[in-house]
Amino acid sequence: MDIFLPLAHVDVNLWLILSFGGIIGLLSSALGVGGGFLLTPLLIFSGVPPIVAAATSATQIVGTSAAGSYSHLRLGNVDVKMAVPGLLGSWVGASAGVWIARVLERGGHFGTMVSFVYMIVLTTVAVSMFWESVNAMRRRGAGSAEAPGAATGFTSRLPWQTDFPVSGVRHSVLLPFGLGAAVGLLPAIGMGGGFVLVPLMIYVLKMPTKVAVGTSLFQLVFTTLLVSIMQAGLNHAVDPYLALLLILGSIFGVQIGTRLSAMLPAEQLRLLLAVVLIGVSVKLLIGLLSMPHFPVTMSAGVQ
Amino acid sequence: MKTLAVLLSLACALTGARAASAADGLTAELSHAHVEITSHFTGKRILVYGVRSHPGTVIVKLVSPPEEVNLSRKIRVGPFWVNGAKVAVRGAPAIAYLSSSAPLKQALGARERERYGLTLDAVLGGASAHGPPGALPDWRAALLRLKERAGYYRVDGHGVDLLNRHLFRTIIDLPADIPIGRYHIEVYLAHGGRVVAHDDLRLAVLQPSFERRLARIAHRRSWAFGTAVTLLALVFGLSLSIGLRWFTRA
Repeated sequence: MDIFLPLAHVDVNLWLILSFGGIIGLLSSALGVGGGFLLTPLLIFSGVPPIVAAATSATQIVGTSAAGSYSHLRLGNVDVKMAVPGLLGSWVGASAGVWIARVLERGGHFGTMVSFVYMIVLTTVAVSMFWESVNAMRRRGAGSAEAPGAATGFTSRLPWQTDFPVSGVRHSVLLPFGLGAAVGLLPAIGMGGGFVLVPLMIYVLKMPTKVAVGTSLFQLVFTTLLVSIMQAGLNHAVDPYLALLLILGSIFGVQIGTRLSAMLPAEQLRLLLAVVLIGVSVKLLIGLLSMPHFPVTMSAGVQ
Repeated sequence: MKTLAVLLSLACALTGARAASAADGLTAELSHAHVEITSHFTGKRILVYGVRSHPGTVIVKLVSPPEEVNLSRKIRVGPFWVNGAKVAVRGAPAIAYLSSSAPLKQALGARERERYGLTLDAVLGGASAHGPPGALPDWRAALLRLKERAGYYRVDGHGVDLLNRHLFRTIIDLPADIPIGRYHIEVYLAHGGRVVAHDDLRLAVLQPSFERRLARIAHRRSWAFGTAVTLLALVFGLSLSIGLRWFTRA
């Protein structure tokens, strides 16, 4: 059954979009990765214009991660004191990201940029996931023995050193602000950025894993909230039908993922995802390398 | 059933049209005076039919209201093909069909075709390109080629059926994504290399569907729209997952 997406200006298959949402929800609950980095290329492959795909992915993340973030908050996994400077930073980064997206879209280069960035990011994520799961399968129960190192001299010399009791660390507030600002650029191209922020929180901010996951998700909801509003306001790129269908699919995916993760080991799921990501990167690469049938492309104009 | 209705309306119209045709040489009629775009609009088949008093070639031209499109030339950077600068074309009709009972070049000379705007080039007469200077100098040719490939512009030299000495008809299939507004349909009768009669028709494409209204609001009040959709997404996601969790637990 096909439906017409009013802002993307394309017909898409209803079940295909629902299943995309389902896959993303499944991934986020079974593996703890947001899945936005997979959704945007899948939407682009289905004919959705890149700017709409990226913007609507951000809207989808708002809806899908709100519930998860709320339960993390109730469980005490959110370091709110850390999240405030982080969120302010990511709002700065997000605003910059959407402006950059606007300039690129106006010039007609957004799609090309998205293809390049996704190709690089997906390959990097896939390789690290592959490496991680191979290592985990080899160790199997040996436990991660990497002890966090002492704070480096550079960060301890920054001003506004503050205690963060929930995470049990002491940092300059500039540190979470800066990390937030850097990672906050990503939602403008449809990536949540949790896959970058969580490791940064664990290894740079030395936060406990559980708190890092909860705080990152909490920050993500409010970052994508701003990105979604800005993408609609500046770029007219949030498609309401697409967003609601993706959220509907993803909420069911989350339920399935929670059950699936109890049955299947995460390493094998991770390995499978790595293979899928490599496939998507290769498809993006082929798209960039292959000669066009006709040297000029046409797309619907914005009134 | 549908064909029967069409034939009936054809017969009805003809009894009325005959008298007029003697004076004008050509009278045409549409199967639908207007088309309503509902939420489930997937396109519409329109029949243009009529009578001619003289022998000759019947030409039917349909032009829709304009709709902006963006063009971009693929350029090669190293091994990669990337989009070049974007050029916005304004004033080009979304849809243009030129249908005739014999190829236009046989029926009319170049000057006559130009005079009556019976070429695709003439259809682009009011169009203009906006973009970096020199980005796409041959945008007209590129646009025509892309529109023709997508089926939005069409020239069919055998698209009009001559049923007998007087009767003609042609079928126009409008695609799903057409702009609303007034469509101009011009019908010409060509004989001996000249236009000897013509008739003008209007087709009103009405009633933007809910989706189109939504798109208009999204452009005109983009910040309010964005805030509403984003908050709706938040509430929808939250309530759905809370509801689903409650349901599975119960």
